Amino acid sequence: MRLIASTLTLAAWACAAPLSFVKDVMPVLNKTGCTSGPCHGGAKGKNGFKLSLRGYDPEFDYRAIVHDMAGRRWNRTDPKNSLVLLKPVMTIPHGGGLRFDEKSSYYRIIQQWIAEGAQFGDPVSATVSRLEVSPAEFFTEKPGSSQKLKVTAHYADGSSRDVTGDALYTSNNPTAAEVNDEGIVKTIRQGEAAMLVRYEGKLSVINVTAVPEAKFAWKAVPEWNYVDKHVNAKLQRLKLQPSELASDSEFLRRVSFDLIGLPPSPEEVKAFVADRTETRAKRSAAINRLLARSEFVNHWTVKWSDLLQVNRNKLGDKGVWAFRDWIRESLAENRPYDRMVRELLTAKGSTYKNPPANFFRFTREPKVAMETTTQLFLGVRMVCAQCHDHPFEQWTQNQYYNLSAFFGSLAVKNGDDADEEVVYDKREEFEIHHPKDNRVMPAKFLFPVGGMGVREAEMRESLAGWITAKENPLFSKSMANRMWSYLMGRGIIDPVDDIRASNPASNPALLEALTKDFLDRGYDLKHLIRTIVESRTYQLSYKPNASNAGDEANFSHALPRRLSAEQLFDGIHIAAGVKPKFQLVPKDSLAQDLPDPSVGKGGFLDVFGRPERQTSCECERRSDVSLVQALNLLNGATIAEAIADPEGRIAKLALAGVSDRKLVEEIYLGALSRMPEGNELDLALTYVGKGPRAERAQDLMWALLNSNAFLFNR
Amino acid sequence: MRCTGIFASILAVPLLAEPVSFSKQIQPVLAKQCVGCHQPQAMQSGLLLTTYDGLKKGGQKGPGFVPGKPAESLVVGYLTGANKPQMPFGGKPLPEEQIALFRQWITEGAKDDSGVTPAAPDSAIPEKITYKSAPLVTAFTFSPDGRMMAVSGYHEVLLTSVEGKLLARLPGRSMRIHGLNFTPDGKTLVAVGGDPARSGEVQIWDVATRKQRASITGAPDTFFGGAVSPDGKLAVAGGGSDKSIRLIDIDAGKEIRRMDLHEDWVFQTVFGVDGKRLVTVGRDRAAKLSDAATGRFIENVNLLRDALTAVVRHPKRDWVLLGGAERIPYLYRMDRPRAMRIADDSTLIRKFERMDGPITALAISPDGSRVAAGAEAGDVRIFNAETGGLVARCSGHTGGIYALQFTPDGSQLVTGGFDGTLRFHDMAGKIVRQFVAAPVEMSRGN
Repeated sequence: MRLIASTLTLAAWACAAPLSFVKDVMPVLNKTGCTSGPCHGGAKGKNGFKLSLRGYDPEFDYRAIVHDMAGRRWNRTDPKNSLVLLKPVMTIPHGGGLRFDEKSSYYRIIQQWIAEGAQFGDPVSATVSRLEVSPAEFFTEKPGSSQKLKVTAHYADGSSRDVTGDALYTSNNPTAAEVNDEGIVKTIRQGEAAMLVRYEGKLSVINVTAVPEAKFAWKAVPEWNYVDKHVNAKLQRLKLQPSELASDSEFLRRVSFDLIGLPPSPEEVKAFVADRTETRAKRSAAINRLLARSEFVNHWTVKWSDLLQVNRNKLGDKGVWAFRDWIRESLAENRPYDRMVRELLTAKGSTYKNPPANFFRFTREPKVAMETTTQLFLGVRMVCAQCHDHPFEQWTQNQYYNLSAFFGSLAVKNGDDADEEVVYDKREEFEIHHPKDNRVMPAKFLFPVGGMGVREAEMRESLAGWITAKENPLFSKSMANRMWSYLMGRGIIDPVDDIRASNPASNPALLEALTKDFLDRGYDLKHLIRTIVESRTYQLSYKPNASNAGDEANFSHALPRRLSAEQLFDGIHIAAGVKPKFQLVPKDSLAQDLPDPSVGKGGFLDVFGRPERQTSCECERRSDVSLVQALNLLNGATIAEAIADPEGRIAKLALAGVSDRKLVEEIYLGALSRMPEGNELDLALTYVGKGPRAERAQDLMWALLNSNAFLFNR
Repeated sequence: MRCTGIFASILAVPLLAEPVSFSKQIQPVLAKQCVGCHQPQAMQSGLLLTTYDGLKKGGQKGPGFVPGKPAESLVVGYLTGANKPQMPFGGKPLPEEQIALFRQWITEGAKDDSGVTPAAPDSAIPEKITYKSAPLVTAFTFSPDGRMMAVSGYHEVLLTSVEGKLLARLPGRSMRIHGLNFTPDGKTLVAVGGDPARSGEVQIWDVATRKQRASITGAPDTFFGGAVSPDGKLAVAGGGSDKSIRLIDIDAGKEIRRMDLHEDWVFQTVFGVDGKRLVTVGRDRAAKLSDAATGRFIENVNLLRDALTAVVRHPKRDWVLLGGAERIPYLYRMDRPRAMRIADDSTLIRKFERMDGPITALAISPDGSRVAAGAEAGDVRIFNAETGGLVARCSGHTGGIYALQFTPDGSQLVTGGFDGTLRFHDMAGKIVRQFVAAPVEMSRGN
């Protein structure tokens, strides 16, 4: 790849200080790819020459170029005969190919730097304190049009420099808008993308939006709460009309699966549809009924048990039940979220007697505890920063160890019982060392929050206080976003546990409003859930219209989601009117009642993506659709046995001697939570009437359970 | 597009009136597209494409071409994709017109018009070397009588008095000198070095006449290290990138043995007291003991920890001091009293304190009582060899240390490196003298 010339001119430097490695040469190494992961920035470097990944450690890179192997890579007496110039221009064979040529400014910068003495420079004044990109946003009504960005680096010493040609650009959605090495953004089609601009460890994000040129007349839609206000404002700007309101039965099925993990019963559907109360009030009442159901606790316990790795391989048999009971109790009393998190983070003692201490039984080690804590409660992934500064975030390697130091004294020892463990604070060897130079890293927060300090004697309490502080912008925001994604099928920031500048919110105002409401209501999780599902936005149909079919990120229509493993399994059994038969748990337990993945292992639930609970990443639960799943649905025992059960819905209906019409309607209500529509009834009646009745009824149920209408929550 | 490409290639041969030149048309394509992987350091599939001979000889799959028969030539097959994987590997196929050049060149007999020089020729000896600033000191040594020093320059070795008076300049083809050693009689100087990523050279100089008696070349990269046997008959050099160790007969001026014991670059070498054995260190973390007479590997001296860059021997005993990326100098016995077991470190005599930065150079005083270490970050320390205790730190450098030696009387430690200045420190670390060996032109404020 031949890179374009830099916009920096040597003339500008003619009378300035000598070029410095840290300020002038590092940007060239980063821009031309030398420090990239597949090249010399890789863990082992290339061909014996190693640089830090994306140049996060200029001191290391300076030593590698200037001092390694007695200065082999540069030539003071004859600069142009330096290996760092001969290789990238391919005068000498270079595995990385041609990076630039002798006429490029990159070549001249390195040559001049060597000629001027190969100085490291002053790292303080060369530190980029701020990156300014203009325009701050690019909005166009002409998809296909371009915009040149201008990037200015502001340094700690107050100086600034145009670095447009030396910054690195990436688009998070190249199918909508792309950006080239020169900082020219080109929109490809209608849509949104974020351009990530990086320069010397600082980054900035520019939102790019292209909307269709065509005339668009916004048809006003009712706003049921503030969620609708913010969603509609964005939709109007993007020239997207939201879909129609979902039907009553569509809504009831969706909200039941979302809140209690189960479909509504045929009786509930019939009663709800027949109820003449005004739609919004009727739905609100249904929501409140669901929030009060015991299955609400069951369903959300599955979710929290995933995140908290409730798994007997890690927690032991008794630990699983103890920790799960603590989760259930918290949900049942709607314990404020901040209190839950404080109980987890400050837990000590026996994992039996104090169940939240199980948090440290599965994290065990300071770095893992820190990574899990930040990902779960702040939505921030620190793991990259263990070995190098985070490439797409502001987090540094130092911060990784500063934050780990809060868990430095964390230790786990055996308890009285063979399976019991005790979490305690050790009094020696609790320091966290930096891997580079072994220095002891003091505990420091990731960013200051309301003047809070670290209390040396109460490290985890300090951290818990900082995380759950009202002023911590990430704690409440990450939960508001997480909850939104559970109910809407996609986070406002997505993935939800990877919040970073380069992964911007699709609707920041909406997220702000949800966050503020969550905070104002004292971290009330049920209120947060209720607010989202009471919005008209939540209750829109999944069927798109002409304007919004392509929209995935702005919630202009409901996003169909494959039912989770537990929802599918329980849904099949409820449709068939039978009880599941799990081993090792109380009789009639549903999939949502299971304590951990060791029950029903290797069966239907695992095929449909139930997580092993080995990590706290949302990504561990798979929601994909696979061939193995399709075969299981078509030929597997789960559906076949449930449908044919002599105690099941079909057998009972057949025995009761109901009419064919009633039989078909009950099958539809059981499987799809709605009455047959259009010509469905006629088709079904014809089929059922032309053969052995019970067998044909089973076939109908089987067909419905294999349809997208059943498999998806939509 | 596919059709037009093939069409163009059929037309291409008759349209080009001039014969295709290897050096002007083929070699530049090879240099840009192929040599990244088919170069001496990589040699994918055993194929070297930096020279005509390399292409002709080919690699594991056979010769690169059959003169007159482009369709049977491997280079055409791999470029068109007729042979898999298509080249350039993982990259875009070459434009059809470039492949057509290869076809035509082979049709015309695949002649070599590049002469015998490789694509990137070694630099010749420059007419005149002028220094605007002090060159790096990458190597220096004292003559056995302690009256003269040989110091690395650029494309030359500088002979100076110990007070810094320039006595002679010994220009050579190698840009860099990585090792300098006098024979015990002081009559011969052996310099090892080369041009980075291009060539290695061992130079043998007659000290009295200042004449180069021999130049031994043929390595793909600079030689490192370098040592002369106690009887003055043999020299040894570490062959950087080709991972070899080369033994040189000094009188004959010839390489007599190449040993391939290391798995990575070799950086420093030393003879045992009796001159019959060698210890060599490299990036593969090993200090390897071998038999100089046969080239046979005996065993690893050390427990492998991290890349090693320096090794020196105790003046009277078969003890070696090792150091490198781990920053800690280790003193090891060369001989193992009993059979080696896994993770055996029983030959370790002493571990010194951790330096600030990777170790680049080590020295043991002539009486064996002091040990010195220099590091990439400019850190220099003198230790008591018996107790391991720190004796002194030497400062004054404005950059990394690449070479250090005790004076032959053992009274001073001399250091050199990034800033090009040789500094003489007493045993308390105080600088007693310093000079730049190279004749630097003092112009424009330099």
